Amino acid sequence: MSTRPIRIVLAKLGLDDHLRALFVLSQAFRDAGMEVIYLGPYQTPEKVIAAAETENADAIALSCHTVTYFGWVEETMKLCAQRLGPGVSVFVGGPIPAEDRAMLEGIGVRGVFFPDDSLQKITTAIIDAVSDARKPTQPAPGRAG
Amino acid sequence: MATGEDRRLKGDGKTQSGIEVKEVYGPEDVAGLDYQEEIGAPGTYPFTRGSYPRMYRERLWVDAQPALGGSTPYVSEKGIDRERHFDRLMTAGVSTGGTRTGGDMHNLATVDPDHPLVRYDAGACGSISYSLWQMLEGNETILPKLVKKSLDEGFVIEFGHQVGTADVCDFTRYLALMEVQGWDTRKFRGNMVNDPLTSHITGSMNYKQPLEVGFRVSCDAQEYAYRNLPLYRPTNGGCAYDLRESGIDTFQELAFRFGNFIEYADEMVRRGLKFEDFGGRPAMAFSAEIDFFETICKLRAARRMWARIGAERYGAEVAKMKCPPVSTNSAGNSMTYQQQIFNVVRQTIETMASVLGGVNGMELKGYTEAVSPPTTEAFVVNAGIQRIIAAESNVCLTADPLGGSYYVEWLTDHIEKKSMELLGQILDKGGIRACVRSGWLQGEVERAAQERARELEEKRKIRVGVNMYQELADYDIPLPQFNFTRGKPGAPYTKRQLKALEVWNTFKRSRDLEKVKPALKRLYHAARDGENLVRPMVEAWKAYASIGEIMGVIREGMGFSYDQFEMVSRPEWLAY
Repeated sequence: MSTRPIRIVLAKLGLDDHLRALFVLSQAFRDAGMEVIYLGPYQTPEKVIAAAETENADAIALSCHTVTYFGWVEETMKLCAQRLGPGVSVFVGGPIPAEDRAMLEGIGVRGVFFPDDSLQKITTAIIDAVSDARKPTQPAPGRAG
Repeated sequence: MATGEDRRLKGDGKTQSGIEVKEVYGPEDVAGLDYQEEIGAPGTYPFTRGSYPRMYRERLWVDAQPALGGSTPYVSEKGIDRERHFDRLMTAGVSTGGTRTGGDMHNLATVDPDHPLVRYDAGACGSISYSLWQMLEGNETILPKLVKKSLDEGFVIEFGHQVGTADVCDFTRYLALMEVQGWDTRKFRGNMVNDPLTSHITGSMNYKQPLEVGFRVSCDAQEYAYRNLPLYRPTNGGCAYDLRESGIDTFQELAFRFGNFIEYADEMVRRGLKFEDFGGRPAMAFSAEIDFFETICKLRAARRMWARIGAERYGAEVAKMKCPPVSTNSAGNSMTYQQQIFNVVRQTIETMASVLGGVNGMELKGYTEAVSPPTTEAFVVNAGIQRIIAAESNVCLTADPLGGSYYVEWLTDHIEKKSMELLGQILDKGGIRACVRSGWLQGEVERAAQERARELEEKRKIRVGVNMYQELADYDIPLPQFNFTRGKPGAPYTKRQLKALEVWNTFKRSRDLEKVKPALKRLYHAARDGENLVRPMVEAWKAYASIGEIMGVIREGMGFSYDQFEMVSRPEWLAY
């Protein structure tokens, strides 16, 4: 199994520009030993997937703060499946209605995080999920978060 | 506290902003304070004790709930249009004196709803507003009624969902409405945040708008209002609330806010206005934080800072100074996701602190703030909190009832001195705009956000139900259920969004491009030639130009890209 640090793309999609979580998460990811590819706000699914591809990322973290998030995430997941395959894990976090977890996992999101999840819990779940995805035999989908 | 519980104080024993507090304060802590110079009677320099002599005996604060702004996703789910929603709030006794209107995310970004970066975000956090046509012939017919109410009854309309250029777009759109209707704009009463500098400091609310464009448009509107609209407050001179929500502390909140104020005020002086003519117009808007005394003393310190800056930097005559009103928003970041009903208590503490600090206007977040813009239920609770404090608690009977407390006077003075020191450092670095260009301020904000998270993780600061007493959050207290309209697999757009795009297409089809073209061409030349942009913006709205076109043309006139996101080009039919 590779010991290369986890490379994670951190972004917000569309016009949502509540940045505080990005600042906090980028620090937490770095503290946990990850390499952060910080895209910031005003991203499109195309830009996020292109960055993940170019940067050879293991994971994509999408911080979502609006009720309109689902369309953005769904579009990103479709592009991710087409362009990157299952080796890249996508995580979504924010004030998301709790009942949306199943819907998000149903379209392939590896972990969904809510405002009451600690930074420790988030980083551990991402590390576990990426480690699973890196194993040579294809494991069952992880249920991070 | 329960029996057997650890009864020691929790947390690090300092205030929210890290101020070391002694166990007891006494006369020696305020020995250096001169009553006339540092404190003064309410309504007199340096206004520490309040903006008005009789304070709440004279008038209570304005309760400005965002009735037309953030609530719309929830409202649409209930099948209620904005007009009925507003009527419902009025009937419930909410929003009787004023309201805040707010655009959605495309409006904040000053792009059109068909911009490729809008997609699923149309209608998020506000109304889908892009044209004067909507007010006159389309789906925003409630807005003319509110404007009439403002002109006839003094109802206060605030454009405050946005800290950047979107405010000026709304401001000029409303002026166009009044002029088309033949109404007297000089009677228009209201205010707007109109503080693009804060967008750049915090990296929010469309900081992609070039700083030069935001500052020019903002100052053009300020100058126009100071010269032509006697009842209007065209900026809050620095949106301290939005600044604070980024995670900064109380000293930074005051220093950055007054740093912004000085940028705008210096520009007004350069344009030939005197501080006496405009310095008291920007209403000051701060954050009401959960730290009770820090909030009270910050509000007292803020008035004193305004007074000193006016007198010392701009040479205003002390005896003639009139302190602007001070308002607060209850701190959204203090509202927890866990056990949300506890947020009613946090709101109450923050409201009480605001009142004891002498506010003249208030906007409360909903107790559901962690998951939702305020629902109607939350608005009613907010109105209840304010009415109970105003009518039952008797704290409004006398001005500045905490004035003279050793601790309160010491803390007020400490906050003012430290904030002034930081402001001095910012001015030494060339002011806020220079500090934005160098990236220094953005770095401060990023570090602050990280520190706020760390202090909660390390339990140096406590949130009940979050990092301590979690068992209280585990108990299930049911709240009104939300059922937001939102995208679903295979159906990423809501019916409301699809309908809004139909309306947008109707607007585009029905307007006469031959009227739009010359108005935009005129606006381009004004932007290029350094004219005040308010009049050509008003005329462009009247010609049914859209928000994206108006701001795109201004950007191009000033030498920037038509689209700040570099995704769309100027329409083919438009040439300068």
